Amino acid sequence: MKIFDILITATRNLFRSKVRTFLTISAVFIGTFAIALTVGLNIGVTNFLNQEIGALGAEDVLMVWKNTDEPIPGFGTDNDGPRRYVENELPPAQISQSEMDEILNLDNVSEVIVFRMVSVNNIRVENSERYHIPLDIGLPNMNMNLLSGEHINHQSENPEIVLSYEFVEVFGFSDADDAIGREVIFEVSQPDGYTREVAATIVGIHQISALVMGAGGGGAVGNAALIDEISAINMYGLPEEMVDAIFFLAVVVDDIYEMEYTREVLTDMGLISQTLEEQVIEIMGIVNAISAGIILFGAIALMAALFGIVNTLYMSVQERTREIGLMKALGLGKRKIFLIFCWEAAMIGFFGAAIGLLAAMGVGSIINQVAAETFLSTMPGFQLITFTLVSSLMVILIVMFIAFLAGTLPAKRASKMDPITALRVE
Amino acid sequence: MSVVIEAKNLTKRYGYRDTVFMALDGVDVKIKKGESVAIVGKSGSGKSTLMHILALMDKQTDGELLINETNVGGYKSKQLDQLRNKEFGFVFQHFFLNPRETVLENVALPLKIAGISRREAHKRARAALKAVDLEDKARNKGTALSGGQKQRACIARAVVTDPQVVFADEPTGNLDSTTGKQVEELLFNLNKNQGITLVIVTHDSELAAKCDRQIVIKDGKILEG
Ligand SMILES: Nc1ncnc2c1ncn2[C@@H]1O[C@H](COP(=O)(O)OP(=O)(O)OP(=O)(O)O)[C@@H](O)[C@H]1O
Ligand SMILES: [Mg+2]
Repeated sequence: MKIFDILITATRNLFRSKVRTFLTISAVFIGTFAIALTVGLNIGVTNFLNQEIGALGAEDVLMVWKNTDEPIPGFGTDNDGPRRYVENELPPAQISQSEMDEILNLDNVSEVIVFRMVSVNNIRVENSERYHIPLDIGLPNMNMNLLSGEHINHQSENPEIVLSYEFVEVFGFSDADDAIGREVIFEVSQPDGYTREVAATIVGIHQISALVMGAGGGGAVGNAALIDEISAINMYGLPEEMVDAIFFLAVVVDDIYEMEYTREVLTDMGLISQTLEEQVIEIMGIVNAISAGIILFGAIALMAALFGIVNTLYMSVQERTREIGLMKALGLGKRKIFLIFCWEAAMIGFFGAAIGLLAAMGVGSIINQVAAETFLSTMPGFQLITFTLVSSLMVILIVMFIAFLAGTLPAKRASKMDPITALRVE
Repeated sequence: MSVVIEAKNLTKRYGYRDTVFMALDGVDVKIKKGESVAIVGKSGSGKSTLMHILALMDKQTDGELLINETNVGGYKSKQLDQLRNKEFGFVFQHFFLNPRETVLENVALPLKIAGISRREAHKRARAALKAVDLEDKARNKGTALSGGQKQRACIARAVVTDPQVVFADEPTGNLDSTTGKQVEELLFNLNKNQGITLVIVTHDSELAAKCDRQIVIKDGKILEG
């Protein structure tokens, strides 16, 4: 029998017991649906992150903090319970001024920027409405996707910001170029409730996604002069050792090929260093963990489906005893009988996987649409669930292969059947 | 005339020790090309068992079997399958037409098993159906035929591969005498016109008498023939 005829015979058999075949296919469908959707999610997130990491720049920047069990204020709590306050003691996890000088004196280090978290109440230009805005310190050499102007200069004495493109319109500038050199005013609160105003000059207009290092989409990044000034207001009146406390540094290296060596030195100094890329990959780890969970669910569903396939085909072999006997009597070999049943199983796998994949694509595109209108609205170009041809084919082929394997058990029974016994009429 | 099938001292044993049963016990058979041979005997005498072994559907416990003067004792199952497919045709008492497939597909089955292309297989199946006067039923499902039509379709299926030998186990056993006669006539025409060797297992002494020769079997032994 030609392979083609084997395939046709097997596929036709599928449609004999339609309800049973449908139920078996449904089980495969559920498993494949869950797995395909998760694979799509993983690809979507991975693609986006890779794209973002590639676009980030700042390859020569290391985020540096103390390697200690002590909590960093605002970043997690102390696991050892309440700590007793000791007069004049440095807050835990602090990087001292001397350590900072030491880092700056390292061979490969060109620039060290104190990385402070600040908060501002709002931003405005003269005679405009006031708007909420997230403000962060700008990472040196980061690719800001500037539409106009240039990146902030940390060496500058003057407060500078790079502002998101969205503000060009609301502040009444005619275009991105028009915004350059204009002054914005931040309203900043002191801990005692009084507010102060800080002015900064727009040096650039950018358009980047929210993912980029805390520089929120629709936000602004400032230079050291601006951030230091705002931080001082944020901490006005607090004890001096808290105001001066340094927890994070951005360290710029001269030669990224020597970066590993520099990182070793930092490690020896009791500091942790991380590149921007590594921080993004950390996010990926969370995505992978979630994916693994859903894939496990899908795998369990597929396992159940496999038992369904085995069962269905055993019944089918039983029902077709006489037909199998006849085909054998007419000279069909064992191997081909075996293949007919295995292929039947593979076809169940194929239909289940194909429908599951199509459903996942459909649901995926709905999720993408909802996501784009809601929680991903600030990240254009982030397609949460993405299907590639290769991944789709892989899913189908793998499911088919597993189904094929499940089919080997009943197929073996069919191929061993004795034609005389099979043709005996009770 | 050349010998198509020759069996020497065939035995077929079922069961072990206490339950051992000799379905065939030292059977010698020679079937020449173009003969029509009836295998007759009482129920349970071993007729079907002998036919199955001669037709390569079953394996003897002891003894030799020669097809076209070649000992097939050492053949692998694949070689036996091919030999059976190419040289033998089968007509069964209970037809064994696949009710879900069309008559044409049923008749084309041995050709498809032989690996012949669909087109060619269908073409030859149609010709075979024409020869048994069933070409207008080609597109019907197997269930749509009457008993006599079913058996005629089975004869078409048996000869579609141009076999040397057609084996028929009680071919008229499930038919009334009129349709039975038609089927007999078809079989003997094949024998006369195409030189196909016939091996017919039957209870029907009338049918047996129409054959060139009768092999009478009793308790697994040959009485005459
Ligand atoms: N698989 C088997 N196991 C044990 N005994 C068997 C088996 N197959 C056949 N027999 C026995 O072998 C003997 C011959 O069987 P066979 O089918 O050849 O008889 P038969 O002459 O064709 O009878 P009938 O005219 O009723 O078809 C019978 O007694 C039967 O019980
Ligand atoms: Mg019998």
